[in-house]
Amino acid sequence: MLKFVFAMIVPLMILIYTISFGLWMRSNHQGFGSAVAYVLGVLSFSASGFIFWRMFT
Amino acid sequence: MKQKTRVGTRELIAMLTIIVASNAFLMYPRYVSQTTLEAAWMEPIISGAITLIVFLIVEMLLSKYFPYMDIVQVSQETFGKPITMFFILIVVGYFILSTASVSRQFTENVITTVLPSTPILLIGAVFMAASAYIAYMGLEGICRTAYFVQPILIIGILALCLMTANWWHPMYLFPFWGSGPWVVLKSSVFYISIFNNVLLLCVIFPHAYHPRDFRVIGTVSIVVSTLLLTAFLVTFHMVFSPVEAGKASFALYQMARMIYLGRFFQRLESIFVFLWVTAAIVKMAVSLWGAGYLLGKAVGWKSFRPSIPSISLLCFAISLWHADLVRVITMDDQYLMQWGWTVVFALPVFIILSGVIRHHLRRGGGGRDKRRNKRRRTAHA
Repeated sequence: MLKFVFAMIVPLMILIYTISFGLWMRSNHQGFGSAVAYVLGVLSFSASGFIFWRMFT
Repeated sequence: MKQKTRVGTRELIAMLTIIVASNAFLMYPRYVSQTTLEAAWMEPIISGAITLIVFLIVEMLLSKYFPYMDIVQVSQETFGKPITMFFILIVVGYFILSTASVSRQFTENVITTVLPSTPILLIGAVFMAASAYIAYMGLEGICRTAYFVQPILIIGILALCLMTANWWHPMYLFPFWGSGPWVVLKSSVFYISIFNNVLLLCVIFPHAYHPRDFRVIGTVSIVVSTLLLTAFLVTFHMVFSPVEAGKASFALYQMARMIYLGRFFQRLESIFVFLWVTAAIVKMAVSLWGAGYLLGKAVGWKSFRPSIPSISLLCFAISLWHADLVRVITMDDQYLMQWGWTVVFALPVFIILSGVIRHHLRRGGGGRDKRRNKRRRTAHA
């Protein structure tokens, strides 16, 4: 479990980075662009979470 | 998204050559050896010839009807934004799956050959991080890296072919037609997706310093990569019998292991590892860049760069989806390789042909189109 938590640090950082990218797009009045950025961030975070969970638990 | 990057002709040729020729290190030699046996070396020639014809047609149509426009702009003008978004998502999906597959194959390659005790997670992460960094630097970074790597790749492949000369058995190349001419032709069409130059050229062409060199870039890259793949496959099939070749997971590694030029020059596979790694990173960086750039362009992002870490993470996760390599190879062969032509060839040709038909249907607006094309030419002059 500890390995899983450690492995998820990088995906979490990438998620935060992508969400802030989405927020920046939103501040530039690009609603659709920001939505796609959120979806991409959540998708990659969930996929890596699933893989790491399977590998480390 | 602003288009500021401009890349030279030689750099673009280098990049396009590497992404096709690096298939010699992947499973391509195995697939073609399984399907066409002794005639496997004919496949890159036939696929390359078809690619060249398709490319020249696409180039002619693009420069005549859509000068200085890339495939996204053509699609947006022809089908509108929602349908373009759908097409782009298909291409982005293809690039992501392709990157994941290449990443897994190269990772397994490195584990099997040089780092058997290192966890797959670590090797895959390092691979992906390096590719993501180059993709983040943009097209210019990728092309400069490719320009640096290209001579090493060409010399490496040719040296490998020549250094195994003492193992050549030319009789292994007979019967000449292998599984038969029809099978060779069918298989060449199925595995044509390794030549993804057409799709990439339609995307990157506005980034060339001299877009008029579009034809030269495409032709030279297709011909050089075809020659390299053919030379490698001919040699591979002269060293190994077709049955052995069809079971080889890492053709280049197995060839490198065979080198014996005396007591002090044997088993030179450790030298060729650097060749695989650099070529792999360039190949993955191109597809990562392609996925990010196209998505950004379709969605309207001001910069595609912030999406690269997320896309890389997604590719990394997908690359580890299957636990064993055999299932990865099966999926790669059955879906990406055999059906990849629908994305790499059929889609760009469909978009451009639809654009041309629409252009002819709007003959009343021909004057407007001519004025628009003239404005574009003047702007790029």
